[in-house]
Amino acid sequence: MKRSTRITLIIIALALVPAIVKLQATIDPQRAQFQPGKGVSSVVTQVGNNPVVLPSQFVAGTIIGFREVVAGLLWVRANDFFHSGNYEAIVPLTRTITWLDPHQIEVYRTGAWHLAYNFVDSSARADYRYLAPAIKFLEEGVDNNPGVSDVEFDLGYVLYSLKAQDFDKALYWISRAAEEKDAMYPMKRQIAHHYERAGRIDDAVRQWERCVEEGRAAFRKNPQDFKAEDHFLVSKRNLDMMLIRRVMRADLSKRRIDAGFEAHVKRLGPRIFQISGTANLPDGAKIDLMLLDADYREPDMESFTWQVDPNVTAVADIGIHGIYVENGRFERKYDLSKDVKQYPFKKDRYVLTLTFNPRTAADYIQDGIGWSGEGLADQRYLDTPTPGLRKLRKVIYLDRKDIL
Amino acid sequence: MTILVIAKTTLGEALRKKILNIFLLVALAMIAFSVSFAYFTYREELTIIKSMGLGVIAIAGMFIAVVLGINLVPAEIERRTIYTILSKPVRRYEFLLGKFLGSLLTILINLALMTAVFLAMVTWKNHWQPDFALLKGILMIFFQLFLLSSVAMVFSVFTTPLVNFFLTSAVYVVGSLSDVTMALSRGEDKNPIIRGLYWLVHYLVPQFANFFTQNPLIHPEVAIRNEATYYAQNIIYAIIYAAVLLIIAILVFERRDM
Amino acid sequence: MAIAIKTEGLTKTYKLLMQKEPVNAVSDLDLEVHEGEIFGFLGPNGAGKTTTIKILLGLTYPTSGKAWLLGKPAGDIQVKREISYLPESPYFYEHMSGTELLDFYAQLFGTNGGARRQKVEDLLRVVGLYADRHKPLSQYSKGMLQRIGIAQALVNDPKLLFFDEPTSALDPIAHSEIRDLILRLRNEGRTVFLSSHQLSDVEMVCDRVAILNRGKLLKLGKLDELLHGGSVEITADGVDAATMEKLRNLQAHVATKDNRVIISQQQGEGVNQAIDIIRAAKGQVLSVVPLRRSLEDLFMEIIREENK
Repeated sequence: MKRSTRITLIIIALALVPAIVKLQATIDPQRAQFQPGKGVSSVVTQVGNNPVVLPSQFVAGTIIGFREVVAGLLWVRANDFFHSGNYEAIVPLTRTITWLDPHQIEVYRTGAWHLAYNFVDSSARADYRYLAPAIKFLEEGVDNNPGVSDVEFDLGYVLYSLKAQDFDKALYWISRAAEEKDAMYPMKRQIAHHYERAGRIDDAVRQWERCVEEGRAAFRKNPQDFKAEDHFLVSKRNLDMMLIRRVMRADLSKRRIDAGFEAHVKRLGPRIFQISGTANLPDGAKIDLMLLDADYREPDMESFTWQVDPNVTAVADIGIHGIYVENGRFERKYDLSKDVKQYPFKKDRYVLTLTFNPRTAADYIQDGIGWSGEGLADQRYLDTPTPGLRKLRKVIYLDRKDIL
Repeated sequence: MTILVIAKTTLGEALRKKILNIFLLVALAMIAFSVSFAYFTYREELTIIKSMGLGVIAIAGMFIAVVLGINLVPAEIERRTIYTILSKPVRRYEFLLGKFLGSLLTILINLALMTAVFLAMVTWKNHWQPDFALLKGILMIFFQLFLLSSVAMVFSVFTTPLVNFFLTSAVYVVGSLSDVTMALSRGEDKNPIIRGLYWLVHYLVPQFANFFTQNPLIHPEVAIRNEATYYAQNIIYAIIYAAVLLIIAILVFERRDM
Repeated sequence: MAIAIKTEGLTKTYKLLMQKEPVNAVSDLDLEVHEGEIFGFLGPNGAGKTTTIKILLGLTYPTSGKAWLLGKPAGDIQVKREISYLPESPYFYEHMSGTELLDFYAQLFGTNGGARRQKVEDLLRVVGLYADRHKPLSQYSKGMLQRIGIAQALVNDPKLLFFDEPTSALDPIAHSEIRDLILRLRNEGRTVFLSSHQLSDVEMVCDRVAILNRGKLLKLGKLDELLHGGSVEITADGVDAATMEKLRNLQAHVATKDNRVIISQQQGEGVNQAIDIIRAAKGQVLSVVPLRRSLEDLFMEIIREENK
């Protein structure tokens, strides 16, 4: 090779190096925008307050860019654990998977559901302490997957509505979900249901009207769109019912029913007690029970951790559980002696709350007392935490010796 | 013309190499096998198939590119086939570029076969709807291997295959840690010399992580802003970087005693 | 006479790691090979023969000195159109058939289409491989590989051919065929540079030889001249003991056989002196025969001398 050719090639190579550097500098921010694994946190992360390093057997796969494959294989493993009933192993796995690939939406949804629903006591009552981590996990899922309606909907419906019975927060998240591009018709109908749950009846009616119009327009445009047809029909039926009920329940405040609510707790043995009481409510009305440490605070997690405080006691008999009224009376025995790990009773003082919330009552009960207890009265235990809502609530303070 | 002649011979020889065919067969089996997992939801199923398929193609492609690249020139020298070629009117750079082109063609054919099986699996599981967007991922894998092959080539002109294997693998691993090296090069609390070293590593080692675009392909909810620009920049990056490496290879090879 | 190969002070030194002294593979080599001759290049293993050939072919670069092939600097791309090389124990792409291999090499010279096809067929016939032309080289015997190697060396009708051990591991018939081929090439006006350990082959075909050891040129010249200039054998009758003693004083070797005296004397004035002594003693000189050395003897002698 001639010397001049060699020199030319060297010059070309040297001239291309700055171009490489410049290109890389341009590519870097674009890559960071969509790739999972940011900087050093791609191999080290925070779980609660502790830094945790990715287990070494996964590092090899991740550092050469195969995070998604490792995540996928781990999810297969997690599925095996579901089938074999090894529930304890699943949550750390879901943490590792979503750490490797924060876009694994199904893992966020399943992990959160698992946390909130599957850690149960011998009476199939979910461990309330896991609700906060479940919510935190899904919030992380929302942050990492903006614009995905499924995750937002699960946060609103599966967690806040069904589990926590916090209908304001449920409404917020369900509404967000319904606005995403991939939102489905049932999400929009759930907005209406949750307006109802939140006591915003006129908003619920307007939402049903919107759903009816939406379904009708879509179905007219495409008669083969059976989902739209279904949306129209279901929404129309619900709208009609709401309109009828709005008329029927209009004057309930003028003829309030005295609930005559009373409740007692009686210790039957160590960690065994009985709740009994009276309520002038139709059969099937549900009394919710919460037994918490006196100093109980909702955990304020900076980042997700599944480690619950082993010294906290939180018994939650709410949602589909609860104590049901029959013939004006309610009674339930609580045997917490078989679930010492879930109910440690380490503190000295406890608060037992028994609640009747009209907003969670069945339609036939609401027909008598209104959506928000407009037709409800009680001399001793009426609770009006927010304007328009009339609940029954009795608080009983207990010492440790009262329980153990 | 000479370059094409040598490329064709290299391709013919490489396609008959047992170890490469084993890699290919194993990859094809793993891609096909990925559909046998049972999942909860349809979305999960496709996620697993796509992530495994792209992952397997990338890993198999990487092994094929490295094994090909480390032996390209040393095998010819060891067997002395290079003597009968370079004693003919073949310029050394023509020989080198011909070998390189032949290895690229081999990689392309292997990729095409794996992609065909992969797309077939995805189409089947996607209710017979093909997802041609996945070809974007294959394109990035190809250019990643193009760059990797040029790394292996430049080492092959002055090291043994064994040393080359470790060197090229090391470059690949370091180049895949783009997020880490980028973060460390910008770390506020580091010694400027160390930061400078990370800067050098981040900008001068080929950044293979640029080509990992599988996440948006696996999860349709994730999108690359200015996708066409991103792809184009990566392709240009690969070509320019490979050009620099090939120039170095040519300069070293030109002065090498056979 | 036109020069096919010329070297001036050609030197190749290797500096190896872990060794204090550099190794001189080729040391100050001055060589000239004439066009149209068969030139033998001899030396023990490690003498520097292959290194020299590689430098001439541009495969290796000299540390110092210069080399030319057919008037152009060694390694020049254009001159490679006129030369060819058959390496020792050649290895080719096993997946190719004989036809494909020759076709590949022909393409490197830019030969196209029909002309190339015809050339390949002709070559296969010349080397006797036409019947096996579609077999992959992995199924070729050593002899067949050597023959296909010769074929690839002829693909461009070269003026200058480099053969490195062309007959190694071949049977006697194949040896003979290769020798005939080399002679035929010379008769066609081509130059053959033959590096070989098969001294008998070299003796039979070469015009001039060079002997190399440890990178240095020890001997160079026409074969005839190198092998003659040895001793002369005088057979005489009627030589008595005193005369035999006088002959021994001439540094001649005297032996008796069948009542005849055989005197071996170095060529030169000593021969005449011996004849005079015999005639003065009234003996009868029956024959005066110059003894020709074998190349092997010459080779061993030179190497031994050099090793001292």
